[in-house]
Amino acid sequence: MKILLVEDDASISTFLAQGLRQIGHAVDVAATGRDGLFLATAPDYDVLVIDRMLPELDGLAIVQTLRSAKVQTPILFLTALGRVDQRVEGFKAGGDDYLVKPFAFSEFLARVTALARRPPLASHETQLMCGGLLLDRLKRNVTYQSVVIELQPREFMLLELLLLHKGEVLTRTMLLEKIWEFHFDPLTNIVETHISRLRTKLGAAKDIIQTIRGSGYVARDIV
Amino acid sequence: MWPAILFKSRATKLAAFYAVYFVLSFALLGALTIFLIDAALRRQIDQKITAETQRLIEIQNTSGTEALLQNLRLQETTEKNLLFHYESENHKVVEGNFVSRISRLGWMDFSSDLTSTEEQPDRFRILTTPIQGGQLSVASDIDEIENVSDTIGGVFSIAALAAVLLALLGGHWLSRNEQRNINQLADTAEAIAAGALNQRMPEIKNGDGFDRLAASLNSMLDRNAELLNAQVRVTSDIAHDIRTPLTRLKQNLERSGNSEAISEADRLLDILNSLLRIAELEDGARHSNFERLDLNALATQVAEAYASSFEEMNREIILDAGPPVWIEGDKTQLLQLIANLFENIVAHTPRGTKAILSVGETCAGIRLMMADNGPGVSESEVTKIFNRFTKADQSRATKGNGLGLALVAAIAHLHGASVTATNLNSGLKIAVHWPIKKPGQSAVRAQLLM
Repeated sequence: MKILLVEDDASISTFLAQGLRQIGHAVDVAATGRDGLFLATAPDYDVLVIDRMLPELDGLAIVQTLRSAKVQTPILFLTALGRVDQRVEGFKAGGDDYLVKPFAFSEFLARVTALARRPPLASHETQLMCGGLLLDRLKRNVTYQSVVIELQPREFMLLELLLLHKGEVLTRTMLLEKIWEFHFDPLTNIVETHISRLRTKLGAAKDIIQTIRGSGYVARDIV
Repeated sequence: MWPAILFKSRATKLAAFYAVYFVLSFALLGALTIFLIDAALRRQIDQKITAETQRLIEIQNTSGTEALLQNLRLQETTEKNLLFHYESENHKVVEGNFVSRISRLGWMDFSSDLTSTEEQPDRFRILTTPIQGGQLSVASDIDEIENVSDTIGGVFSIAALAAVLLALLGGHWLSRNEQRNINQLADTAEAIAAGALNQRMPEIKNGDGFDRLAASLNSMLDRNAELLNAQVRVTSDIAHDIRTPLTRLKQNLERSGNSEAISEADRLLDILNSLLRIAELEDGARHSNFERLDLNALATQVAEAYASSFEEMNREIILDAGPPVWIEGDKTQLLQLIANLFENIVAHTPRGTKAILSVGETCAGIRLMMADNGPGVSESEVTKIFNRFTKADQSRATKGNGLGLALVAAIAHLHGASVTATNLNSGLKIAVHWPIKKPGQSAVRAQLLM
């Protein structure tokens, strides 16, 4: 996967680039908004990671320019501005996801991966399969080896999201945002509890949901 | 709506006072006028009677009693306003056009229904004078005086009534004017309180008291706005200046793999984020993400999220939510508000605690309430519970960063709601209350005007 990182803080961009390269991604780094915009117009990036506050050209302006020029590459905003209205501003400008500094590398990686994989796993598929488990998005039911598994609505949403992103790590924060619309970090282990209940209900198929310690959760075909 | 306001208004009280004052003055003035006119008319009549008596005595003195009697007979037919009666000492000769049953000498008032053609008895003023060989009475009808008094009284009554009406109308006009000025000031103040910090009091520049008040309030608001902007700048600078180095710190810690240090850094971050969030919320003017939301649906959503965790932590949550309750608000913030109420229960109550989350709409407004049967807090702490870093004594060792309820209060205030904490017999009750909004005074309108 090829990623463009536009970040003016050298220490942060070096750390992120190293981390991405270590797991086999190609990373280009730009330190100013102008350079970033120039590079971002290239068609071969899978994800653009753009800081909101940049010298020469603001991150928001870069994204607006790119989107008006019909560049559809998924964009992850990085920012020290964590307010909700600033997040909304970012989405309105055409950003696809928003990560507030400081963040853990695992969180960053999970979001970049989720963005890169977005188009092929778009929400068009009506049946999601994983390790013998079948989730029917129209009938809103889940079956494993032809046996229906009863799930609460949120548990269904949780499983659906994990299956849509099969093979990708979804972090606790991502799940809180997508399933419960919680853009904050509750002390209570809401995600853990729901995952554990979901696993219990999946019974023999429970191992399709795996915990990645310190990162999040991933759905995988059982081997 | 205006009568209620009208009675509260200072101008209305003034108008009522003036109305009473007018009525009393008119009554006094009327009484005085009637008294004076009455006295003047009586004096006039007395003079007339005296003069006539004098003239008749003069006739008797110069031409004898017979001439007097002739003259009396003549006068009876020509003089309409005066009545006469002559009686000789031996009561043999009687002449006159009224019968005086009274032989007392001197002045007297007398009413008789003998001569009256109307329902009211005629009233007379009589002067009886001793003359040669008898006594002479000359009388005059004084009904006229009464009529004049009545007429004047009537005129004054009508004038007093008119004065009262004018005073009330004037008072109403004054109070409408004053109320309009007060309403404008109050509306603006409420809009500013609701977050439209750029609004200013209307100034008419007519130099009256309201105008001066508006001008001084505006200069005060300008000064506050300057201070506030400076504070917001500081907050946003802190956000940027601290978050970026913290990101580096966290990355270094991740590289070192020191999980204890990472979790300490996360705790620090959690506090920093909460503090910044509270500061940002208190800055107030942010309604850009407000939309129409069902508070009940939000409460249900959060309660569902926490239900299973509560169960595993041996606590119980009862949700008392009814039909939709619509408010204007920021979904993310309101979800956090409700979630923080749950976090507060988790952090500060023992296992086995039961909590009730209820949403209700009454004529007094909308109320979101979380009540638990935990240990509650001490009376001295209950008022401070929404302050930053307040943790009730017995819970100092428990988890939580002491900012959860401060955030609840900040979010509530941004939404035009108030927060209260009350100790129950057993447990604590935290209520968020939205007062009924007067039409056109919503924070949203204030936002549109900005």
